[in-house]
Amino acid sequence: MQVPLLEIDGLKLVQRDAIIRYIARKYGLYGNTLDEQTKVDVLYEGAKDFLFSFMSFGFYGDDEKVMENIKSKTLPRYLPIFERLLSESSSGYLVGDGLTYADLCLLEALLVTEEYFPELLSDYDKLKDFKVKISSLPRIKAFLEGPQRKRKNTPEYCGTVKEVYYKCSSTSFQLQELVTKRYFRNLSGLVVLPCTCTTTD
Amino acid sequence: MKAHLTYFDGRGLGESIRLILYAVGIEFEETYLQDAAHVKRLRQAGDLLFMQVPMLEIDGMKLVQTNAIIRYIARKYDMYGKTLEQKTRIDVLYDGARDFIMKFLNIGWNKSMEEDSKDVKENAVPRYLPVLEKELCGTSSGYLVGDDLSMADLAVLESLLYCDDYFPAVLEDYPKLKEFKDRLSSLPRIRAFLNGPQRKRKLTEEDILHGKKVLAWLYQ
Repeated sequence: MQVPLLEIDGLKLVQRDAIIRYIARKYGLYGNTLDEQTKVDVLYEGAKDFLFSFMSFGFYGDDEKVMENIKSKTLPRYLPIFERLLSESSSGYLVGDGLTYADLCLLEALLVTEEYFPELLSDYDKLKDFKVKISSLPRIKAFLEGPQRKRKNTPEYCGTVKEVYYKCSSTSFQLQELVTKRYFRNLSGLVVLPCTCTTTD
Repeated sequence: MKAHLTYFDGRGLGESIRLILYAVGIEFEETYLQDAAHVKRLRQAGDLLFMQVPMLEIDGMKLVQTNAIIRYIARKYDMYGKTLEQKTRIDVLYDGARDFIMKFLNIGWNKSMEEDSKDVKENAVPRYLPVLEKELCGTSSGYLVGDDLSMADLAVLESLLYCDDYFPAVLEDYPKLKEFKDRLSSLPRIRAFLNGPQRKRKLTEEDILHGKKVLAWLYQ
């Protein structure tokens, strides 16, 4: 049992990154040359580390520690790096001349940063512009303002996830983020399919 | 042409890169992190994009992020499948195998070697091995995807080698996996790595104590 699970094109795909890469490859969001693909991979992994630092919030009862860690280590590391990368880009995208899934992952990380630490983005003009630019792309805007956009972690949500994982699998506990894939769904104009999760007692 | 890996003198994330470099026939030299000052110098020189290791100098680039490094090598040396479907299946299996490898990499760092091992044996092993055994049953070539060695095979191999290290008898119950591990370990380049001087040894309790100090260098 594992989620996210995406049913698409007759396939049942698991593994968040594999799902994202499938959609990116198929819809041209993965860069055009070997060089660009490499850059996209590197920047995606970095943006993912940035995003994932927020992932455990609400789950382990150590939220203060998580937030302190993000404020003192994560943000001072990643914000300047991505600010610099964007200032070196002439297109306004992280790699090449068009949107890639690295941009989407960075956007997601910036949106969650804005939710928890809005004041800490104020010194980063390129990141602010980037966030506005990508959020305003019509399909992404439609997602962010639409009914399938999920909200910040709540105790109820965290409770449900924990219960499902403890009942469905062993005690090893993996958190996966569904939001990024939904960006793709909207970007490519596909209909979003519901995520299925079967439980066995 | 030689590549150059900067990492710790230990397995960790670097070992996966060492394995694929050998598998495709790229020779490489290594720099081991010495101390906090060394890390600082590398960062100030701009060599570490995200201030982390591993970092692989290859083909004029300084690549970071383990998965990105491995994908670069796999793409260039035809270890990433041929069709969209094959690439997707490789991604799924590779990512799953990486999750499994990470469970082994965390042994000794969480609670203790004994407790963490027990957790992996009771939880991770019964979760991953049956799935991987089933995947192998579904192939005729002896490789997980298509007819050739891919980055997914190497990731699964690495996880099985860790199984061997920590739980020697456990693969007896998984004949396909055992055969896969033995066969791939005997491929000339992979055997040369596993028997050679660049293969790092299994961590001991002492290594972990020392390692915790070493890791602190990266967080200064």
